[in-house]
Amino acid sequence: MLFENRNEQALAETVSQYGTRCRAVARNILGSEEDAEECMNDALLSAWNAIPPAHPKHYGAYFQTLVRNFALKRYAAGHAEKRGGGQMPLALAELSECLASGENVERTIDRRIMLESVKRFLADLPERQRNLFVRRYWHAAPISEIAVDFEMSEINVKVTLSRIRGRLQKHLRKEGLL
Amino acid sequence: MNELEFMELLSEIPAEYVEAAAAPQKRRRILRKLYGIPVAAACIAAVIAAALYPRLRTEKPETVPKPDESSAVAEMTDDLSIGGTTSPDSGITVTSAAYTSMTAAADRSTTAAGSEHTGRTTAKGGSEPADSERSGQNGNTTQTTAVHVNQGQTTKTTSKQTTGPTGAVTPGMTARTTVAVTTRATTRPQAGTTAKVTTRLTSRTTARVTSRTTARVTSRTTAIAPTITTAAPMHTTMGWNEVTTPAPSMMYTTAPEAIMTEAPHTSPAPATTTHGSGPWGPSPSGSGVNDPPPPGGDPTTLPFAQNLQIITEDAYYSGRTSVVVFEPAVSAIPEGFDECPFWDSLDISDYTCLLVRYYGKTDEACAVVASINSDGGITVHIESMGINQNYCELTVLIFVPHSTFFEADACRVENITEWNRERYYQDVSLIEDSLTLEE
Repeated sequence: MLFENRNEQALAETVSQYGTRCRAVARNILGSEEDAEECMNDALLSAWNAIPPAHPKHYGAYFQTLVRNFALKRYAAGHAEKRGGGQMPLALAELSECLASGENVERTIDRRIMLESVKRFLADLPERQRNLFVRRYWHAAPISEIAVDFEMSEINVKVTLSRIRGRLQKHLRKEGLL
Repeated sequence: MNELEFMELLSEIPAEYVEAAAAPQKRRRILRKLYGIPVAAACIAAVIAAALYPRLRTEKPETVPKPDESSAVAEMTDDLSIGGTTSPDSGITVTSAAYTSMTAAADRSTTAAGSEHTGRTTAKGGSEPADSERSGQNGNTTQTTAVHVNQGQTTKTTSKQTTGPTGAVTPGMTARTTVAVTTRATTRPQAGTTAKVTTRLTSRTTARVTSRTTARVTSRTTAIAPTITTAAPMHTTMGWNEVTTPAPSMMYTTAPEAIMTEAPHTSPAPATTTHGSGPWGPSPSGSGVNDPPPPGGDPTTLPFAQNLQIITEDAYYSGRTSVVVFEPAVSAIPEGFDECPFWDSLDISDYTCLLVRYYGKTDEACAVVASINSDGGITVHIESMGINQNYCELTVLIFVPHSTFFEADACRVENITEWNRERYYQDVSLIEDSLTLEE
């Protein structure tokens, strides 16, 4: 409502409510607090400019997504591996096992088709496993943090994520995307 | 699409998934514990089943053979009769009562059969009237002898009675009932893990009881003659009662004449002599001298046998006399009297025996006569003929009919002196002429 009323209080409120979580996502991807803060600022500007006419149903997820996208772009453009921080290298490495295929390296995949397929995959997962997958690959949370939050051991988290990735690969192959 | 593009792609997943993943993830620990209990129980059961399964497979199934029909059926006796009557002998009617019971029990499926009781009483015997009863046979016979009531008198009561089942036996008959019980148990262990025990109890009782009661009571008091000391005269007689009046006929009955025999002994014995009733009578009391027989009176002579044994240099028994009264039986013949002909010639069941032992200082003695005097005493007259250097034991076995009364404590031994020997023999010779030997 504050964004629609062009009230600058909206930004403060957004930071106060979703700032911690958003910074965490950016930090996990980029591995740097400063970069995460810059992503946070970029996301706030993007949200101020997008609302209105956009009316996100879940503002928190919308803002987190803005922050994450900026983080990923920064990651891709800013040579995150060189910085050695964040969980991105590990997450990317894990996803590369189920996504990378020598046969489909040059193949152009419609993004929308891929997205719909992933959505269907996540819808079929049990809630706990879905949350676990999203926490790891959307929030880019470290394994230790996930083990604490989910009251699991780190080995159990790793095993569970490995099984989910296997199911994803099987799903994508089934739909012909791999 | 590479992994980075995939991660960028994930930015467009539904917001609900993002917010649900960001929310606190709380697991319900109770469920975990509940799931653990049945899982543990299932694991334990599986382990147990795995351990027992091979063993169960190797065991043979238990087979239960069909129960033997014969064992479940009551065993019947051939002579089954309930409440009926049988007549094993002509003229005899008895009530049949046989007892038979059968009980069968088994561990499996079989049940004990009911018992049956049958009774049978077999009567066997002949009927004889009491007046013709013979000794040793059955019969409802009662025989009672009269009893003296005088002090010291010997009371002798003889009754012989044979009874059978009341109301079921003709008087004079003998009812015989036999009881027999048999049991049998069978154990048949079955090979394998199951042991089967079959127990069959068979009890068959046939009532067969032989009851033959012979009541024969004899009470008699025997008085042993008083001891004669060595200082006393060697030959003495006990008290005599002079009889001046004839004794009642009931007191004197004619004893069956018999031949006196002499048992073998170690020294030459006088020739076999006979005895019999004669004018021999009691002698005056206390004198020890044999006087001529008193007028009247006819003492009852008794059949007797004797046995002489020499006892060397044994002065202790000198002059002693002992008297034993008993009922004779062929199964209990006194020593030295095995060859006594009276066992065959007399119906010993009609007699009472006196075993008189006389110890004298002589090596040759013999009994001449045994008689009952008027007072009921029995006197044994003994003659000593040998040299008085050894001692002898003269045993005289006297047979006294049951019909003859005598006083056991009045038995005495009297030695025939030289003075009256000739006279005695003279008398005896007279008696011999009149003897009629009973064959």
